[in-house]
Amino acid sequence: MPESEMTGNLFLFARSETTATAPATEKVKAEARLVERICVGDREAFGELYKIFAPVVHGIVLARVPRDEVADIVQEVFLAAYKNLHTLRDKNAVGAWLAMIARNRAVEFYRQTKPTEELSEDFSGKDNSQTEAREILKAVRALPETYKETLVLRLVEGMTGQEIAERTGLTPESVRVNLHRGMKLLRQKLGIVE
Amino acid sequence: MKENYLWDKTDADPEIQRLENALRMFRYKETAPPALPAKIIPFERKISPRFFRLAFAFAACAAFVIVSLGVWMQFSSEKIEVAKDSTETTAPHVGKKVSDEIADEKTDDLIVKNVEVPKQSAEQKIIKVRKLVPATVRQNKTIAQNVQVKKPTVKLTKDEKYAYDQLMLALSITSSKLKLVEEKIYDVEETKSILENER
Repeated sequence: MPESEMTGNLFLFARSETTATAPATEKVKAEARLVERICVGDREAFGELYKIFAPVVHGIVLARVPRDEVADIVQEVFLAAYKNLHTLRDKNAVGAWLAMIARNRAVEFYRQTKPTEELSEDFSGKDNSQTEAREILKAVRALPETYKETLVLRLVEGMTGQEIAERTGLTPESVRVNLHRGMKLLRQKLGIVE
Repeated sequence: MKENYLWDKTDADPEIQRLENALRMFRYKETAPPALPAKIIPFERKISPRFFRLAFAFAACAAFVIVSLGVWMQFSSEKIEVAKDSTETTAPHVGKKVSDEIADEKTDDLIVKNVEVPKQSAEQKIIKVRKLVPATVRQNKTIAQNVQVKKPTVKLTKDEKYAYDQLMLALSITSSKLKLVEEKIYDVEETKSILENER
């Protein structure tokens, strides 16, 4: 390949990278602005922040605690975030910060309460689709921490890899790896043959 | 498995879609944000029982150290008192003796005196009082005197103690003055003897 063509390709690659990351940066800046508004006392801004990050927090908590408790913990996470928002140094990292609070709250939940077992299909008496869904979720929850969180965000919350990376503060590469390896393990657990 | 679908939902993968559809029922359903407090109140951290245990242990250690220090100080002060008492009982006699000796010195050259406390008593003391006298005289006469000290029965009052201290001070000043006088006399004598020798 001639040198000029190679440099041209590199240039194109660089351009495509910048165009891909530009909206993400703008989005991050918008979130930082939201945080600043909340710090000033704007309650609507908090509502907007909640809309953006509630699915992420929900997914992170769902990967760890029983379903009945998830909604309460999500609310607790946002309330705690609101009270401590002034301590957040990097306003652009609000997503990663919220994710960390959600993980800590999930850990705290198990510290405060005794572990419980969710009812299986024999006791609950629901239809087959729900039973299957519960079984799949159970299998996902049995995966290692890093994989289960990313898989729940992808399969349950329906977020793309890029969105997961943006909102949780993880790098796109690690999200990609987590999705791939997590999916492989989930297949093994569910007995799906490729 | 199609990697693209897992990453950005392009190039559909029926298997992943089936999982997605099954798990959709657990998806977040939009709810209202939590009711915010009127004023931001800082979180109240619960004080864990571990903290109390640590605090109790620390307090116990501190109390033990203080008590042991107090006992040790009491014990050491008692020791000092015993030592003081013994010196108080022996010192007046010695002082008296020494002053007598100083008075006698003019006529009778006394060199070294050993004042011994009786061996039976608890406060056995041997106090040596040495006087600066010419070497020639020192060789000629040496008197040792044993003084029996009776066990103290009466403790000194504050005023008596003060008077005793004053007396001791006066004696020490007098003795130092005498020392100076003696030294001067020896110097004069030495110079005289040197001059005589030279002649």
